[in-house]
Amino acid sequence: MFHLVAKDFYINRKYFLLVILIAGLISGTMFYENNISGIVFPLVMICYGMLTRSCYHDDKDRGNIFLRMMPIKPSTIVFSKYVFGLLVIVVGFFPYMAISFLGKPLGLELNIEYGAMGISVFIISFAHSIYLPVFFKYGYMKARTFQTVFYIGIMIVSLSLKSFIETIKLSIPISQGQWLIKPLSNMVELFSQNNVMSSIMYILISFIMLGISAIVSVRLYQTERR
Amino acid sequence: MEDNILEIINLSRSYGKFKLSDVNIVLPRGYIMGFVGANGAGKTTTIKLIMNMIRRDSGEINVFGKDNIKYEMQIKDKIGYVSEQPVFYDDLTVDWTAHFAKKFYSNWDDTIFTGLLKRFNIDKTKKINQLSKGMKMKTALALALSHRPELLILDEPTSGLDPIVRDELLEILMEFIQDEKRGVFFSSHITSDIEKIADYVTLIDNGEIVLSEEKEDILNRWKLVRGDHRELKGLKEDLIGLRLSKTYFEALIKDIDAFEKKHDTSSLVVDTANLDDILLHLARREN
Repeated sequence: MFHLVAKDFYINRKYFLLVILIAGLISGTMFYENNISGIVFPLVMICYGMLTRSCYHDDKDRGNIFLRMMPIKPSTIVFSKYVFGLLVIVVGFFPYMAISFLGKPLGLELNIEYGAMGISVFIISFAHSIYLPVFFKYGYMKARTFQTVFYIGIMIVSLSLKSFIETIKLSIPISQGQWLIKPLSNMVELFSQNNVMSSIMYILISFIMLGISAIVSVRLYQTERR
Repeated sequence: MEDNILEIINLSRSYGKFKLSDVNIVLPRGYIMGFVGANGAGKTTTIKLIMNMIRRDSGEINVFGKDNIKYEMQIKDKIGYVSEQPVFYDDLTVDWTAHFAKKFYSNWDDTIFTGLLKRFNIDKTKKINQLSKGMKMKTALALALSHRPELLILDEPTSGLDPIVRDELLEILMEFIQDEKRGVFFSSHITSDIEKIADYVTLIDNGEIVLSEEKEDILNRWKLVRGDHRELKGLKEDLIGLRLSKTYFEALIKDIDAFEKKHDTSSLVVDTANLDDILLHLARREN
């Protein structure tokens, strides 16, 4: 497992350095402008990009054949991609955390926004959880088409969900729609909170999602070997 | 130690319109089997099934006497596999690739790998994408041999290589088989390579095994016959892939002894058939 993950990092080493640089710049800018919630979208793009890039290399160099001619369990190949995806998230957040911790001794008020971090982890994990089973079942090319549609979907949902709920809230009489609106609204409120608890909740949900996705991916990879 | 290094029993797999049906192959230890067939005949599919890279619909594959799915990891630890287009991560060096591969094999031997690189004149610091096709194939072979495999599976390894490199590869296969405990399963549509080194030949056509026998038996029994087309009467049912011209005919016969017992061959010309002839006439029969 370790060697497979290390291989993914090594193959993406140039992109990896770029990721750290960009994540650092974004994190710095966010602290400077005191608008940490803006970190979500760029980090999602970077982490998702790194994972899909590693899948691209597997496809371009026919890495799945190279790996499967060796005595490596299919489940190990699948799980290594998930571990790589998780480590990429850690790498993405590393500059943000580092700037925050290093800033404090220097007297800079750089508070970590756990809510924004939790949302980021959740969105990236969600993207990985959906993308990887498609990749393991159909390969990179088909997963890429899916990825494009998925990006558009994510953007639309993330930009409009809250205002959509607000609109529905106003337009539906209380007696008719509250059974649906209230829990949905509460959920959005909960997800919008900026505290350690909500962040932990996001991360837990992310792990559950990734776990289910990994099990599905292993089954797909074992039954439909390309 | 089991006598057969590879056994394929009634193997079937459907792929859209293509169907690999009832494939039966037995390769004893200590021998090289050539797996011959035209492009698209089912060679790569069979090899992928042996390597458990695709799932079979039915049948059995036993490698070293063990089921290839149930004991996949143990089996792969003792198989050296080279595909038609050697697959590596292009951006990695030869050395890095070997360091990566060695982590997964229990029997990896660095001295074998270094020795083979030296013999092939391959610079291990070069990236894979800087190597020529021949060099990539040699690198793949070096990787496949460095964990001391018992069975070497090669999918069209000589395809697209110049005659010198091809000859070098065949020489290595001959060396590999010398201890008589190992085996080579070697697919190719270049029949001259198979004729040079194989002890057994399996011929596949359109997903079906046409023959799977010792090479010498095949070459002794299968013959080409030529004669005046007026003598065709009575012979036709025993001729395969009949080719007619204005004055003579040419065809393949499966068993010269049986043919001679049945027919008067005194006015016919009986010639040795090589694997190419067999392949061509069988294809003509299909058409």
